[in-house]
Amino acid sequence: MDTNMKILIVDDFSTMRRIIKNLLGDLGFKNISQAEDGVMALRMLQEAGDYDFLVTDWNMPEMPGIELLKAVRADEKLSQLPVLLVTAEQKREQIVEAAQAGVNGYIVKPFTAVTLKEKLDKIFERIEA
Amino acid sequence: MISTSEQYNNLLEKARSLVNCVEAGDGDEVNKILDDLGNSREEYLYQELGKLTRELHSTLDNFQSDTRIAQLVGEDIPDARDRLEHVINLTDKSAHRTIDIVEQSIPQCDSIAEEVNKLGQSWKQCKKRKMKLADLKKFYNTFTESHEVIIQDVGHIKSGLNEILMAQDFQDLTGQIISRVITMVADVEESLVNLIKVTGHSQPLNNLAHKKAGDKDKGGIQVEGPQVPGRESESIISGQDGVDDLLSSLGF
Repeated sequence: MDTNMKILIVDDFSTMRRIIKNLLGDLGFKNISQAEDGVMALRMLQEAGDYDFLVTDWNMPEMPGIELLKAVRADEKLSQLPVLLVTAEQKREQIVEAAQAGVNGYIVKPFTAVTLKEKLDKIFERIEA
Repeated sequence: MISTSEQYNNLLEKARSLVNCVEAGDGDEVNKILDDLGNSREEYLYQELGKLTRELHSTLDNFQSDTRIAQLVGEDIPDARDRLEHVINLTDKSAHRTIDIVEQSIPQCDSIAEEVNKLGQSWKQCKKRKMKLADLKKFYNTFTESHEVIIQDVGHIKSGLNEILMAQDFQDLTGQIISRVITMVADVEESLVNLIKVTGHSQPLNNLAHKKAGDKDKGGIQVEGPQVPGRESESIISGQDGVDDLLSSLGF
């Protein structure tokens, strides 16, 4: 896991974006961008082309996180991008849908800094394996 | 008024009788026939009134059994009250957590100040007695101890600050809950408007928009927002551990 990796955080609530940004900062990740909805996020991902990691909420207007995930997986250039869902949504069907859509990790709110680190480590362990 | 050929023939017959009776001067018979004609007029009016009454009844029935008002009163409004109650709890918890940490951190700051003071005093002594070895030794010991304490205190304060950061997570959760209540209030507003229309004009209600207080994803699975104690949806997986278990059982 390269601490310089370029990360995009997507959530319609700015407080949540700030919290995650600070937690990642504590873990050494400083190269962080933010988007407040899925449409903007997708555009940013496609235009820059060099993001290494996507952290997104589910429940957002316009384009919910699950749709963003599917769009990323469907895009040739973005399909391998590691995606972490951080959300209050926790119905069985939703978790299954996310897993089937190819999410790399799923964190339910409210969460702790420890959980975030664990899931990050797990995601990149898998990828690097 | 004349809706069937039977009624038409009936009327024609009566009209002819009437003319005959008038020409014959038969007052009684004329009155009888006029009454008869009057009654059938009344009957028509009663029939129409009956129809309107049945329509109104069925409209009101439909309206009552029309799920929207019943649902609002029976489910959505109590649901909204619970949700707002939960919002109060979340914000209360968060505020107290933050204040607790602030209260813990202030003594830590005092402790740091105290240690720094000690160091200051010790060094002053050194300078006053022109760096005698004994004093330098004393300063060294003081420094070693204080260093330890200060590092610890700073550590505590830092982790307290991190906890305060996490305590702000309430805003996102409460925001989502409140958004849903706002949607529900809009529903109530719409239903009340419709109710006013119905009682004003006795029109049958068509196309009452049935918006539930949960949005539909384009994928069709209903988005829930944060769970509220006592109002949990079915099929909820509880906690990060539950989520992790489900994912690993699916092979992820």
